[in-house]
Amino acid sequence: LSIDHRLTLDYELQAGWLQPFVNGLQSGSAIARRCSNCHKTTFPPTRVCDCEHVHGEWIHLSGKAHIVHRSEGADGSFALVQFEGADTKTVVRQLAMTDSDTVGYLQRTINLESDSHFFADSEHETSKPAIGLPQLIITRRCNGDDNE
Amino acid sequence: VTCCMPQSKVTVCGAAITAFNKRKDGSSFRDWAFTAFEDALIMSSLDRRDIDALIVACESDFFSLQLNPASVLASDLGLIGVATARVEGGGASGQLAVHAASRLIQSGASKHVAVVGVDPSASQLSAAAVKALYSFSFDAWTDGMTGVSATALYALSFQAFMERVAVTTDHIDRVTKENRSNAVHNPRAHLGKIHSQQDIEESPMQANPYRRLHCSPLSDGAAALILSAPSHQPSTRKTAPSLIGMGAASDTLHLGARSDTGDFAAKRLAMQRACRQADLQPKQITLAEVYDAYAGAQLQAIDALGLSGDIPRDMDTERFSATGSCPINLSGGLMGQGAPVGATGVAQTATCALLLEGLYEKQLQPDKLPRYALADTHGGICTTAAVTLLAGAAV
Repeated sequence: LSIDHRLTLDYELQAGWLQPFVNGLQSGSAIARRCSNCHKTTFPPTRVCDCEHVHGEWIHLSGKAHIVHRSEGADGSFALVQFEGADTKTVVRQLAMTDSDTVGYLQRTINLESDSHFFADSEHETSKPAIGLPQLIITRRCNGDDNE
Repeated sequence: VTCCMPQSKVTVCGAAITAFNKRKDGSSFRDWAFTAFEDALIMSSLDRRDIDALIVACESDFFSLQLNPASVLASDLGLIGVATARVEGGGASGQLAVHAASRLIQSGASKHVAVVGVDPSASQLSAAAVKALYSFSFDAWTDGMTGVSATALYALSFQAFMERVAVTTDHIDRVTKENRSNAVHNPRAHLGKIHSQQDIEESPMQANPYRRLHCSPLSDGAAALILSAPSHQPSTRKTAPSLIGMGAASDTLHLGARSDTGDFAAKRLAMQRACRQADLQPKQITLAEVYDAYAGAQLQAIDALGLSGDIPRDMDTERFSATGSCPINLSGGLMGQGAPVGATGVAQTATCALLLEGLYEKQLQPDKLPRYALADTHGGICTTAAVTLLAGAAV
């Protein structure tokens, strides 16, 4: 009864004002927005601060994130975390993290071919990050070292 | 915040809902919209030529593969010449469409407005494709590209809620059982089921604490309303209920940017605005259809809407069950009746209207007609909230 139809869409997405944040994710740097009026630091960045000020500066955070809540299951492994230096929390995907880990580190945007080892433990997951696009992912690895 | 809505009521002259399920009969969303509209129009005693405007709620062109669906439905429904518009606000689309239609009437621009909510959320795309699209319901540049599922976001929010309010996974199991058992008596429902505790515990963990049975299904379906100015209410519709209060609000896009990640603050604000317009208190509500995309979201909604000061106690006394003093989701809600997104809010309002008039399914119709009812939806992780309050004709 149905008519099969396949639609393929090739987007050329523009990050706009989020460009510094996006560039940071792609290289593994947590780049946050700090309000020039009240100094509230948001990550992901907020364009207009709670104080209604629109001007701010981009600052580098360490990339170290403290886990507040975590949720795991068939959908994947995700956490609500607080990056050091940020006043807001962030939802991230967890890769290669264990239940006992309380901190993780921002991972550069995944490349499916060269970073396939990150997915070794998550083959059962039904959702995957959009490869090549900016991703908020934390891992226990930090410059080759395990976290504390 | 000052409420700028006028105080005038809007009469619900017609209300209809199609079956919510995964269609396998070759019918399309245009057929479901037609059926719902026809049934609502017949109930209203009005003719097509009486309708001034058509407001369509439809969440995603990706689902329907139809841009500008309002123009398509205006033609299909035989409403050429009427003003048309499509309203979209994620999961809140249907309720926001009801609000937009009501404002046309309250402003005096229209006498009779048709609202049609429809979405083919189940049969036209794979579940995996719909799930991937839903990720972009949040911030496409953060959550969407990271591939965060809606279930995981709701799970993280509910974990924060459990820290503040003394509810446990036992409470979401109870919501799951109640909504699905209500749906058993709703012939239009997608998932009328009697679940055992074992059924729930054996269903796969999607995102802790949510198991598959704690989640609402993807559904196809449509719902329609015919709303009228009270001054033009057909003489045959004297028992028609009214919309008496509407409120909408928004919250920060990022869950982590909220001071309390478990609180549905936008819903709280929307409810306050609706109550102000209706001159009602939450405690006067004795019937509600609330947005239960996930079982825990129903508890978060009850809290934000002010329907309970002690959720565990009220659940222990079965206040929200089918025979309780404030039944919630008699239809089965999204979890039991189903969730064709654009249709959801319209169907909630239609359900409340039919219950207030005593025209709902016999086994679910309260013995005594409720005076007031509440329909509640939201989009995103309660990023956009919309609440509608209704009153029976006797009020």
